Amino acid sequence: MRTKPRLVAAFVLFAAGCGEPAEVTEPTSVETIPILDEHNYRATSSLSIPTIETVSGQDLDICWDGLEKDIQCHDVNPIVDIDNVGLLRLMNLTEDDVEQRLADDDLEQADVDGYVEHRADHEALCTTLSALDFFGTKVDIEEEYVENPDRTFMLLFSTGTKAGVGARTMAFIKPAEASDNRTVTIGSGCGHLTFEADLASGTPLAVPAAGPWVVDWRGVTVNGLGNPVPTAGIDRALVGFYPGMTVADLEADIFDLEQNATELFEIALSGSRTADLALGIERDSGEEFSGFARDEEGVWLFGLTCSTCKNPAPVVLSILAPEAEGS
Amino acid sequence: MKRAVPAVHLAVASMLAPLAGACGSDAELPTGVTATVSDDITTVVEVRWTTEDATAGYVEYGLPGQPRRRTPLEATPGTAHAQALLGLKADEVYEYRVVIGEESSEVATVRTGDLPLGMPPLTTVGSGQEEFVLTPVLGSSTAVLIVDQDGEIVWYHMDDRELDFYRARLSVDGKSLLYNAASVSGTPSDASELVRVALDGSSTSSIPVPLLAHDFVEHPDGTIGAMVVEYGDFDGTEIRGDKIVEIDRDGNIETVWTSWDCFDPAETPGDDIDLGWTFANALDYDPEEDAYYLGMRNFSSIAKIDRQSRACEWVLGTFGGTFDFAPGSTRFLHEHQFHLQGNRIVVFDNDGSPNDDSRVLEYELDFDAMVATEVWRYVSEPTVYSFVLGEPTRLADGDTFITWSAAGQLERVSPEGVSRWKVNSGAGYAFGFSTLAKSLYAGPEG
Repeated sequence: MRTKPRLVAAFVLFAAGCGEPAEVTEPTSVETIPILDEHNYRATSSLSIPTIETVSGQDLDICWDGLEKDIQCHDVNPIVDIDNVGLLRLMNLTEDDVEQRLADDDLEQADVDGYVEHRADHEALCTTLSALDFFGTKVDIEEEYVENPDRTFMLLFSTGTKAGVGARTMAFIKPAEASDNRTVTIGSGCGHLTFEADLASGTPLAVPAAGPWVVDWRGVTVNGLGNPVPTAGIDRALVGFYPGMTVADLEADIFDLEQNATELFEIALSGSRTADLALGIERDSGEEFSGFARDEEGVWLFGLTCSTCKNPAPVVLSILAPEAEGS
Repeated sequence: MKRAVPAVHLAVASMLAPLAGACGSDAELPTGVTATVSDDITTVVEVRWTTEDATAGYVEYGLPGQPRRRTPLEATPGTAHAQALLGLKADEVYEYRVVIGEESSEVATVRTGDLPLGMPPLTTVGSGQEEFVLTPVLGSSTAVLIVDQDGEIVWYHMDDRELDFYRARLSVDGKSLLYNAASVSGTPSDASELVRVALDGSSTSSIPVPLLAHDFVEHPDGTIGAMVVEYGDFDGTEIRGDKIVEIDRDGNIETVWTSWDCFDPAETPGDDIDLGWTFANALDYDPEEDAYYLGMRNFSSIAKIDRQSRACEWVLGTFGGTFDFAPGSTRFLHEHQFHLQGNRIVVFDNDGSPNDDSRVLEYELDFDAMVATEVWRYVSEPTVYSFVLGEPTRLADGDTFITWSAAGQLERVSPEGVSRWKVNSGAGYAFGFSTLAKSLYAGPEG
């Protein structure tokens, strides 16, 4: 369904003006395709981050040579892909709390009361706790890395160097008086994240056979996980085509939605809440999106993603229902 | 001094308000009324109109059903007019009309644009905040923001230079926002600058001030006082002190005070001279007293500095202190900003608590006996820790506005210690210091 440009009646507050209130149009004159919560997918997500007990108040070796899969079970080359090792100290949160907040993408800065990091040199696959710093400030290991029920320590291994963004896997490290373990060894992240998506119960989004296809997601209030939409972070729209596949097939391989699309049109966003699908560029061929007509039957999917969100799950996934030519 | 580069971008052309049938003298009526969303700041709208006769007008605007605001009355009558609508939320349809005396244009609407990527996600609880909050953002992105009473971003300026921003202020002429681009975590930067951005987004300019530190002030005459790192020799070793410089409207820089004017490192070494001797981190100015107030982290002290004589009239704190603390009164440690009003001072105490949380302490100062007595304290619930920055501001109604900077939290607290309004940023986004303004049109006095 498409909406016509809305008419906005202006009145109420300006009754003192000598002219009659005018009915005026909004600036946008292009018909849009509104996408609403009912069109969005539903999902459940949980994290199970491993805990590694270590010595308390002493230095540690931290190694990630075993990090060959990330939490989405995608391949990782630990030398090439890991740019940053960060250590977060979180206050007033248990490990379960942290897992839940990461899954819900609502970890706040106030939860963090310490952060240090190591920029990988793409040669060594180990560092030490004492080598981590933040603008020259290091961890006072004897004072700060000690057993404390009010503090939780989490290591983040990331692609990219922005704090908290691009995490490929994570691990809790727990200083314990009873432990003599001085080595933190990071293995595969596959299995840490459980993610189940329900694409089928969302109402398919009707799209016309011929453009324009300006999709407007102002009406989407929650992401697939039911949390508020991170409007300020949505930085990519995509349209994928999956010939010979069913919606159930997509659900079963949800981490590989982008890999499984035979055509994937991408639109970089800069904060807007609409996207013109005609501006989509196919990732391999570089061709512009020109419509939904294909020789093969298949599934069309629209998505919105947020690369800076802590949870990598797409904000929006909606099955598209292209109208027949001439309708 | 770099010169302003006009950069008005007319982005989304709004509708024209038809004026057929408007009443009053035609020569004084606004015609050709347009509203244009700024390309640079999508929450700023410029309204333009013309009149046959020279007139002075203003614009009323607001969300439908909400109280309306107004721009200031134009200072000079003219026939071609332009005013910026400020304080607008993103992606909202606003009503506006031009008012000239008893006459006005018909009501029209304009939709503001979306916020750009990189803005911090903010969550707000409570109510009762009455001022806009000007604050830089550090961490996952670097920008300067104005947050409204609902905790929404209504103005922003992105700046991707490899520096951080710590303080933002409305300029005394009411037309610009000033901020410092500097580096205080690690080596101070030779490329640091004071930046001026027109509130309507039309221009930016900057003044290079090498080795800028955390804070600056603007005097009523437009002179800027800023903290700058200064290195000096102590027994053959270079140590890091500080100075206050003043920059006039032409960009001329003059040193008006240095750490060595009041302190001797042999007698007052501070607690971490290897990192920095005085390590000044907060600056205020009182035009009535013609005095600067300087916070020094590694002294855990705050000094009142006579601007003319360069003398420290008093020092409150641990190193170099001239006040005694009354029995039972808590000392602050590694404090950042503070707010002095009469004989009361509220201090952001970063590290003084034994519980690894930050807090605000208030003291009553007896200037005769030179005794400081703690009279109030506040710890946020849940507790937060700001290892750097942080600022308390005592408001006219007795509330205290607290910026828990590194913890990404803004909070308004009643005298009874009840949290009335609180904004939290998503992980990865910290705040700098905050400046409050009831209006965005009236400069710092607003």
